[in-house]
Amino acid sequence: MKNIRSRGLTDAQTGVLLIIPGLAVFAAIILFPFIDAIRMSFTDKSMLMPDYEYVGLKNYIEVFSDPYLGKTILTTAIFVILSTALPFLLGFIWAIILNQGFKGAELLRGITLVNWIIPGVAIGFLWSWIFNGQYGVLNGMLEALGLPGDTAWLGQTSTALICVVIARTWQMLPWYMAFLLGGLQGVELDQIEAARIDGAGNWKCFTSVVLPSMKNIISLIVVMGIVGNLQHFDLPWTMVQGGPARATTTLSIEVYASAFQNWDMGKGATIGTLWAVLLACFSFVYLRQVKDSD
Amino acid sequence: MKKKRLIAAGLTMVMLGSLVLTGCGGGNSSESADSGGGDESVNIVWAGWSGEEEASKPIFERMMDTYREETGNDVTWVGFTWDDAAQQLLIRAQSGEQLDISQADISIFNTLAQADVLADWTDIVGEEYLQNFEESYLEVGRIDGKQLGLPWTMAALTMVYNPEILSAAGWDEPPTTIAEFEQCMADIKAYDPEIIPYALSTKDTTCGADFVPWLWTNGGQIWDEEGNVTLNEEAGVKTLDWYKDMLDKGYITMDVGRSEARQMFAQGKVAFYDDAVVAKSQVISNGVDPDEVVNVCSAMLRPVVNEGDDPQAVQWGGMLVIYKNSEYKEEAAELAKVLNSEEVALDYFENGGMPPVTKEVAQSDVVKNDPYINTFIESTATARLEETARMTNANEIKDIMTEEIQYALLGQKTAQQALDDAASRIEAAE
Repeated sequence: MKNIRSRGLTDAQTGVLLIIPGLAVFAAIILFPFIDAIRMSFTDKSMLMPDYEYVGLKNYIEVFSDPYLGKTILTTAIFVILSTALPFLLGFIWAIILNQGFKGAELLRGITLVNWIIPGVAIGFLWSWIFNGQYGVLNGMLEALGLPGDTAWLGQTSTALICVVIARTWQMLPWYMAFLLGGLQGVELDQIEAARIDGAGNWKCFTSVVLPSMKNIISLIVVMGIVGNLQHFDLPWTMVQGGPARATTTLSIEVYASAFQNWDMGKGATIGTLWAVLLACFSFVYLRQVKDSD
Repeated sequence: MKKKRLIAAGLTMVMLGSLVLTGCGGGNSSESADSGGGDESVNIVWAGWSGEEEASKPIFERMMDTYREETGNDVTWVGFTWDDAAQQLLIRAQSGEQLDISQADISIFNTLAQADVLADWTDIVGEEYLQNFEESYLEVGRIDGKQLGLPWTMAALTMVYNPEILSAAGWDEPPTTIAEFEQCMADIKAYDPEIIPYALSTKDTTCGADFVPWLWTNGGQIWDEEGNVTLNEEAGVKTLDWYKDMLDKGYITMDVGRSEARQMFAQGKVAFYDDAVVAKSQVISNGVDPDEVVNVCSAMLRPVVNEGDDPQAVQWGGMLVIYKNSEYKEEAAELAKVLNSEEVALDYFENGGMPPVTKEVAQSDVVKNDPYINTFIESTATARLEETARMTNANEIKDIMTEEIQYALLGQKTAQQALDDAASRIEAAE
């Protein structure tokens, strides 16, 4: 080490040098836009005009006095909870089935992953077609079964959000399945054998051996799923654009509509900042999980 | 250790190099033009949405081929969906990416004009060329004395109907009053319950926009002359109650926007819907012979409350705009001249249904004797600019109206409650 120091850089200095490009990229594409968005939330910046003024807390007061803010947060919460819980549960069941190692399990695993590879917008259009009230596949099937086939699934407040959640579940199920299958394959078979010798049935083995062994992976993917769904935009936008009657308007759609439809960048940045605070809470939990699992 | 330092230094160089390349890569690439100058041919960028529609693609290809042949310059089409057009044009114009000329309908035109990114046509083509157009058409593209939009296609947005469906339901002529219209929808429903009598827009901004001419029909407005919101007064409530009544009777349906209406109408599943002249191209793209279009797609005047009332229609038009930052304004203007030339304009008219706007071409026999276009032109006589057309937040107003109309249609608010909420939200948004 002495020799190295005398010739030039220490290990610490080399390390700093190595992380500079990464830091620069982080600062340029994440940190600066983030700080700029917070700054923008205190302005009346519009996409239509280059000039703007600082307006203090005006945007925040406007957002908090919006009578629909509570509904938007509630819709976001319902979407996040359902879009995390459903694919998690179905993905877990599918992972357990695939973990049985039967013939063709690997092929099925590969096919399942296809959903996850398809771009979100394409999935949105696909499910819009399935749920379309006039020429949709679902109504066509219902009619073929002799049932009423004229429901506007995406045109009713009672069904629109559920339709989006179903599409999101279809999209994300493989992601949960892949992680959970990995977790299942890491469970010690000896422990399961020991539990069985002690008289444990399938359910007891699952709850007493498998689930505790997968605690870390489960909490990690649940938190990542929540964060991903909080950020999610593609499906609610392409399928229903936040409607009908704001039934699917989540925070991400509210930001997009404010900034890119109403051109109000200041208000969009304000909602985005509040949204980022929410995300930060879950990200904090996620980081704690990562740290604990280490 | 020497080897380790060498690897570290190498890695650093690679990463820094990548960073520099990444920074350089974000510039003006993609569809961008040659940087030409002097007498060399240049490549201009023309943007819009109509060239993205399947039915119009071949027509747009012919337009661009004509421009290439006549000028020796090249043109690159950059297309978006109509929904994204305003946003994409604005971002492109403000980000420094090449954008020389684009189409702009009335609502998009206003947004671009307010953003101060458009050049004045008078400075580029001169007063003399502008005299080729009707003054009323030029007026639509004029803001604060500047000719920011050049007319390209102009007509009213009114209603279209399927004469074959009406005839089968016992109607040889389209209804002229609201009472007749309701009876006609009832007859169509009785004739074939699978047909949607009226594909009224009940989603996206077209829902809010299409509410306005019906509001006018009932004697209302969004704002009065003093700028007070009057949407929630008697005429508005009456209109929205009528919407709800039509939904309850199955004459209209939820989850229908303009694009769905066009698609279903072209397939013979809809009897009436609101549209401009573009309705024709969708029908043709579904296999109907252009000469037979009027048998399944004809324009009609919007029904009125009482015989003798003025039928209401919204002024609709496509304009061409040139961007202030364009290096090729002259070349872009040449494209505009090609698009408005007799050969190209008549091709667009005959195959896309878009009426020409120059005095000379509009008076040609082909246009004057066309049965499809006549009612659109008749509607233009009483057509008005949509009330939000000159507002910077027109989309926001229409979104608010759409949301509150949906609340009423879905029974979550009464018409009065919904329009009171819409009025207070519009006042807050002003």
